[in-house]
Amino acid sequence: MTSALSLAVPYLADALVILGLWVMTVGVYGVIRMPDTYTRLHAASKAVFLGVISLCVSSAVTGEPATIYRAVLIAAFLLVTAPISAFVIARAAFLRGERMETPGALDESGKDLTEAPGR
Amino acid sequence: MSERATTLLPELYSLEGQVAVVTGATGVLGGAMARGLARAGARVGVLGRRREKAEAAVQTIEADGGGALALPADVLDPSAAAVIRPRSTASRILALDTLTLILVALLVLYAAANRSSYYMDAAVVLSLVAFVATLVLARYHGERRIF
Repeated sequence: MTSALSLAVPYLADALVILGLWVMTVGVYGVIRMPDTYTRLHAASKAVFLGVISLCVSSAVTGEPATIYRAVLIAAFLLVTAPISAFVIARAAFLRGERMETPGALDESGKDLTEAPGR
Repeated sequence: MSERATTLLPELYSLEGQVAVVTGATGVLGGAMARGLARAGARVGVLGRRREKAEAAVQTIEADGGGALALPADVLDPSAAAVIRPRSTASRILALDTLTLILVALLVLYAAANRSSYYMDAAVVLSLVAFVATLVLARYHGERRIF
């Protein structure tokens, strides 16, 4: 049982690396594809962050405490900072009156940032 | 254009250092506007559906001593908006943040592949610096102050 598990671990790590790269690729494509900063934040802060976490988990396969400890540190740090980064960027865009380009976007702030009618 | 107009125009209405985009600049009216803006010192984005015509208009402007860039796009096509509309500063900050996250990911991958924890140290420091940089840039962009 133990030997079967230790056989499977490298493949699990490979699968996590591929998953992480795939998720990050989707995230970067989302950043390029989305029309405004508010929607780009979805792709960047969720997808790219999840990709990095996945890669951090996969690095546990090295079995070195020094690497694993730092991987946990990075994952925990990103877990805390990714929402804050996304929030400050969204806040900056909002304070500068950046418009929402997404069709059907709803702005409840009273600043009327949605796309002008007629489009 | 007369001698008097060519000397008066830059003095009165200098557009030096400005960028102008003319839609339909491959046509007669748009072309005249693009050439006029270029003569006033603006760098002109020549927007038209056909690349050859846009580039021909650019060559006319450049032969006249102006600066121009051909932007082949159809204004009725929503995806063409990406060609015309510049990325906002907030989007650029987001892009920098994403790029550093990708760098962190690459460092983690490299550290795991080489079984070397030194690259993990670099990844830790990079994610820290990237967070502080994003915070500072975004706060300055939004509120014109950092603290």
